[in-house]
Amino acid sequence: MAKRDNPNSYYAWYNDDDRLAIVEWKTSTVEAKGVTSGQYDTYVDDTVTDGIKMTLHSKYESAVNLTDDLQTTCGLNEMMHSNVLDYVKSRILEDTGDVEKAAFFRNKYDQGVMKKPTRKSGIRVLLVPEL
Amino acid sequence: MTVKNIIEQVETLYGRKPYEYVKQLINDALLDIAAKKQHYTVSAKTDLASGQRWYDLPARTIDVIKVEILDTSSTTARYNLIPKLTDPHKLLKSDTDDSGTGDLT
Repeated sequence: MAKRDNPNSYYAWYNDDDRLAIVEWKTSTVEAKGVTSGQYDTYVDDTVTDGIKMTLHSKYESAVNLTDDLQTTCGLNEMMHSNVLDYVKSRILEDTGDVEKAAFFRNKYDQGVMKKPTRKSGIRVLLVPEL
Repeated sequence: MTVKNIIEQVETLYGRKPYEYVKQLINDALLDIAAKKQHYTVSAKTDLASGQRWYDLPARTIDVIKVEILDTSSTTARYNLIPKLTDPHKLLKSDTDDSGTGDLT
């Protein structure tokens, strides 16, 4: 439980597409509850308010109002704002039937997104060419 | 750059376009960039509940970077990183809990 010293020795997590699972390493057997010592199982003890903190890669917040700023409201790095404009232009031209110009702006958008620096954390994403 | 700035630039080049239409295109762009770059990192907290194994992830989640548990044993509570199980099915092969709540209630 969370009152143990060094909870990182006892707890672990895994996930599926929509949910996160928290499990606890059991140190004693309680047959009535189906708990076996030496196995991970569901946490059973006092509820801990804000006991779990998750850090996630998230989609950007949606733009809703005219005054919404792409950086402060949506979370998009300022260096990528021009890419949004290129994307919008390409889609408008595509919808109006100007496929050649649409392809130009789409290409500019793709190249721009690819060239922008990745995260400040230094974690890099493996670039796999589209075949 | 605000939504209004983009609409104004679009209007200058291509004439007036419906606001909702341009706003939808901006949101499409944000989704496309999110899928390609994964720049946007957020934190979320939830209660650690007794007998509950599964917790819903926020709807806008792309992937989970790390999970921390609040250590309440010391005088100043702090969050500790916990490891990810790489083989949960193997470790929990005898556990049938998959229903959204814990199996020990």
